[in-house]
Amino acid sequence: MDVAAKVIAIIAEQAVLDPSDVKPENTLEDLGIDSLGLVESIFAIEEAFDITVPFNANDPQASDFDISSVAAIITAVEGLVAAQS
Amino acid sequence: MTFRLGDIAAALGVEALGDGDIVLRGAAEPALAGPDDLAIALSPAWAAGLAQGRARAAILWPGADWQALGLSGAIAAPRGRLAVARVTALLDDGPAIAPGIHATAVIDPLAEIGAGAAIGPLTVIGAGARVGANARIEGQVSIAPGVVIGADALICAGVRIARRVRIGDRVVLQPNVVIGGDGFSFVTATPAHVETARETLGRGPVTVPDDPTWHRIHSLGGVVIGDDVEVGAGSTIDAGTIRATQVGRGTKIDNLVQVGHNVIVGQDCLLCAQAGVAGSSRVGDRVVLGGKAGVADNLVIGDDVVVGGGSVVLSNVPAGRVMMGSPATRMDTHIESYKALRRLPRLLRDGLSRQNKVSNPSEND
Repeated sequence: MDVAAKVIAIIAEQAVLDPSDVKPENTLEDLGIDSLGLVESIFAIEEAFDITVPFNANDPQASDFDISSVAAIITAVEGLVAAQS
Repeated sequence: MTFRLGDIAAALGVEALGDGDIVLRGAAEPALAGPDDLAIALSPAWAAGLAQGRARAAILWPGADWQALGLSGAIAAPRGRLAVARVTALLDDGPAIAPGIHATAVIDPLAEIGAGAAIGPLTVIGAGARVGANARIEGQVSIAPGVVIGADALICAGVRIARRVRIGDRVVLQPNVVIGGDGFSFVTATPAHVETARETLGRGPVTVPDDPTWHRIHSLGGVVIGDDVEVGAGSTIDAGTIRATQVGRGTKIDNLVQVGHNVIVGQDCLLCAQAGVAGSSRVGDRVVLGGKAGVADNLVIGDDVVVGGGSVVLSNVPAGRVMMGSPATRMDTHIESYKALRRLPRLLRDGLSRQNKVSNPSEND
């Protein structure tokens, strides 16, 4: 499974949606994922890819990790995975 | 009972859109709505349901295109759930309690029952109790001698109100609420191990007292409940020792909540299901205790504090703080700690693998 599919699967699980209903342009808000749901999604991403996501749970907007949309999260995770290998 | 859409709109202080003369009998979720139901569709997520159901009228989210949704009339609610509060109040004709005092109710001749009160079968009201005007009391309720209950109370079946309890106006007590049971208050002749535990944090020897008897501290203080308080099914509020346990005006308590003896709960608080406040703690105004949240004894919780569900507060909390976890810490601190905890397995694994790489050569030397 590629990074995008894995990230979408994780987000879909947290949003209780089918992965096919999670679109790249969706925001977490569109998907009904709130701040604590975001924290869980980030942990799931960290554990799935064995990476450390630089996010500030108290002020996610201030993080280096762009969570503005599903596509942005995929790009950020791809960056972290590439940096690690 | 029927309502015109326009009447409901007027009750909400807004204008009905479209046909205000549609006659409605009740409310329903959009997909299940019949032609005489007001569909409740507070966000676009409910739009599909409107198409499935047969509603002619709905309460809609702000900016919704009611005509495109196939409705004949609508109400646009800027704050949907507040509109639901008003609409449900309008549509609820309340529990069916026959007017007057049921023949099987046992009411002491020295009790005072206010004008317009309705009292159901097998309810017992003791001497000197005063029940305010228009109180609605279902069957099988016990009201002890001397209890005072304000006007317009709704007291559901099985509620027990013990001695030395005063209750304000417009209070709602759901089934099986118990108010004014004796506090859980016992003392040993010499200091017990539990009393020193907080100081010693469990270090040092255990002293076994010569006399382990728990002597009962009686509850003389009763309970005072303010106006507009609601207490959910099965919740209990214990009597104070010397002064009353207090619940402030406007506070709402969910099901299965325990409020211990001598506790003071402020005004306009929310105590969600299975929350517990231990003896003598003071909870400020507008505090929210999430479900299963616990507050230990003799603490002070400031105004406007929010305690997340399942959290356990073990020390005082300043006003305005949002708390989470067990023991409860500031929510942001808790999330940071949780973040560290979640990363701990990988950290350990990575740390151990690094350690092996270093130690293997030295073992081969």
